[in-house]
Formats: sequence, structure tokens, C-alpha cells
Amino acid sequence: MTLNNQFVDRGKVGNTPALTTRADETFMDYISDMRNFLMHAPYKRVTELSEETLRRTKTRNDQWPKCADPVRDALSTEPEVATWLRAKRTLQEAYWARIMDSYNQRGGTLKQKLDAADKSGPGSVKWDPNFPMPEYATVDIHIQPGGYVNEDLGGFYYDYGTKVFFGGVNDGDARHTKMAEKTALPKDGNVSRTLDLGTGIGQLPVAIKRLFPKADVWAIDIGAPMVRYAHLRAMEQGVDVNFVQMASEKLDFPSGHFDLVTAHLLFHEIPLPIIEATVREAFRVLRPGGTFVIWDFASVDPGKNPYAGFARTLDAADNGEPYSVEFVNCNIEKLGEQTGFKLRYAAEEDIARHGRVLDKPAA
Amino acid sequence: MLDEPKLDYVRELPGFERGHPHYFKDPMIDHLLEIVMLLGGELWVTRDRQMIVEHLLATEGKVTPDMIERFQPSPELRAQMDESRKLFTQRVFNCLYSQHEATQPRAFFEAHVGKS
Repeated sequence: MTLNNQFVDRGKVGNTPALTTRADETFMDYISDMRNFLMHAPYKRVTELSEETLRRTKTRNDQWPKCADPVRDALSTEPEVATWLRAKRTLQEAYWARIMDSYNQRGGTLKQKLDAADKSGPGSVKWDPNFPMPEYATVDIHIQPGGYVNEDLGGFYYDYGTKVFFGGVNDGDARHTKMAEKTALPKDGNVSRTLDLGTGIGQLPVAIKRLFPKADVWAIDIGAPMVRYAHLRAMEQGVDVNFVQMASEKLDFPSGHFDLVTAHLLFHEIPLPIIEATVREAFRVLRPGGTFVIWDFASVDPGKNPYAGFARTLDAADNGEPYSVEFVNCNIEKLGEQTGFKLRYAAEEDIARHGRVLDKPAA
Repeated sequence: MLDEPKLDYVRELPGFERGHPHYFKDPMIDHLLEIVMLLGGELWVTRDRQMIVEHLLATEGKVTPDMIERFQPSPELRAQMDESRKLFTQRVFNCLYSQHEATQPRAFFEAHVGKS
């Protein structure tokens, strides 16, 4: 803030609006470094220590959700793991708090931008203030206060929050751009209409539209704050994407409508019955020969070591990811095949590289 | 028409309602670690501002709050400031983990959400 009590326009950081003050941005750079130093760097060591501790204390980690509290208690006896968990939680809470405080200082201006963008293009946005929000979607995902559905400025918070989360790896949407470039296409190569499920702030469909400028690109998210901000963000980049507030398990599109459906980090944020319904809906809206690409956490081997995987359990319990354990254990590959898809790549390494590529058989 | 999914169980999942977990037997250790981490951030904000003030005085001969807010370091200065910040966090928190093999951020994310 200046001596005149006015905020200066600090522009953008890549495609993300800058925080309101230099101090906020500097604090966030520190948080990002701290995450790299205290969380990412020692991750391998902490994973080994946690497994040793759970085995020594005979604390099994394979009975979600009731294993969460015993696992947390057992790991409180191992200071390096407890420190890692404390750092993860504190840094996560700190960045949400600072981001919200920062953007809220000019919240009126940011809300006006969203209102203006609602009626502007390129691209479009459709949302409903009376949307019947299912309770499962009201969780504060990643402990972002208000989650994706309850804060008007939630999209702004999410944008800067994920910038910090990725620790610089996704600056300028670099990760989404690479992901779009290597997204598996229908085998006949025809991409005229695409749909992104659980689009968040719309980084992937924007990247897809750039690759396929003639394609009709659609993207949905259950949160109005997300689709409104996604549209504003795409519009400011001059990219024509149609965003709609919609639940992935109840798609309001005709059957056989799309060539390509994508879902990036959606499935671990929805409960198992919604996962199943979403896969069925993706199958329905794809044309014969169309392709569904799912980028998400790796599936867990059902015969896994019962003392491994502490991070998934406590991320689910303490970081607003309550459905992620259901997802990694649901065998999405098999679920896709049971729905009628053909899994293009089965090897773990291929899935890590391409995502789960599910082809709807040609007629 | 799809069957309505049965979702009564989701409220019982940990993580659905936001809690205040602690990770040490004595929650005061959690509080102290949190205070130290947050104080480190506030101290870094002050040092960053001091660096900008010194730079502006040396190059412009004057400084105002507006100049600080609009300040965009050159790539070289930005790299210096980033390096200073990394050294600062490492010096302060070195005792916790520095002796272990480090995982780089890109490898961490690839292990969790796939390669990009």
C-alpha cells in the first residue's frame, strides 16, 4: 500500500494476478522455498522412517479411514516425521491465509472483474447462483478455506495457491502445456470437440485450445468460483473456451458428442460412487472411437505393504483430501474397462507418462 | 437416468470437517515450530524490503513506498535475491534435514501426479 492508502497495480506473475503487496509476494516466495527444503527434499528419508516406525509399533495403514488417527499417533514418536507433517500443515495453512488476506484487500475490484468477464469473450461461462450443490463437494479441498465452491474469489486463491504448491514447476502453466502436448488423441486423430472435467481454473483446456485452435473446447467444474475465474483467465489470454458449472457425474451434453474427454487431478477429489458415475458419463458423451484421458494419482496395489503409504493417509485426513484413498484403491483402470473402455496402456511406466488412456471402441 | 449415488458416509471421513491436528505428543512443540516458521517468513519480508530500499537508494537516490511496490528486479538481481532467500532458509532450518539426500521438486511431483 502506498502513502495515499491506494494499492498499486502489480500486474501478473505469469498468468496469475500478482498479490496485492510486495510483502505478500515475498512471504509466498519464502513459503515456496520452505516447502522445497522441509517437505520435498527429505521426502524419501521421511517415507522410510515412517514405514519403519509403523512396522515397529505394529500400526497398520491399510484400513482407511479408521487407521488415520493411530497412524498419526504412532508417527508422533518419530521426530523427523512429525516435523515433516508439522511443516506440511503449517506451510499449507500459511499460504492460504496470506493469499486470501492479500487478494481480499482488493476483493471488490476482483469481484467486479469476474462480473464483467461473465458477459464478455472470447469464450463463455455459464453458472447458476442456485446450483444444487451436493454435500460431498463442500469439503475444503487442500484445506483451502471455502474450498472450490464457497468463496467468490476461490479461483484467485486456487491459482496462487497451486503456484506455491508446485514450487515453481508449473509457473506460466508449463506443466499443463506439456500435458496437453502429450495428451493421447483418438486413434483416428479427429479432435473437433473436447471436454475437460473438473477443470479448476481451466489451465488444461486453454492449452488444448491452443493446440487445436479449430476445436470446440468445453470445460466444466462443480464450483462457480472456479469456472468464473477460469473464464476470466482464459479470456485475458485471448483463448476461446466454454466453461460451465456442472457436476461430472451428471453431464448435460448429448451422447456421443465429444472426441476427447480429459480429467486432470479430478478423480482423487470425488467419492467412489461419484467416480463410478463420472466414468459412465465420460463413456456416454464420447463418440465411438473417442478417448478419455485421466491424469491422477497412481493406483495402489491391493497387496501393498500395510505399513507403507503414510503420506496418502494423512494427506487425506489432514489436508482436505478425504476421497483420495478411495480413489487410489479403486483400480480406475479396471473400472474403465468394466464400463466399456479399452485401456490403451497397462504398464505402470506408460501410465505415469501418458495417464490412463481409455478408448471407447469404434462402432 | 443414473441412480442417485449413496453418499451418507462422506461426512464420517476424516478430512471432511477441518480439524486442528498436531503431530507431536506435546502440542506445544507443534506451536513452537509453527511460530518459528512463520517468524522466518516475516523476517524475510523485512530483509527483502531492506534490499530493495538499499538498491533504490544506490541507483535512484530516493525511495518511496510506491517505488517499492512497483519494484521489478533485473534478472540478475532477482537471481541474487532468490539465492539469498534459499541460503537464509537453509541456514535457519539446516539442523532439521540437511544431512539427507534431497529430492528435487520436479521428481517429487512426478512421483505423486505423473510425469509432465
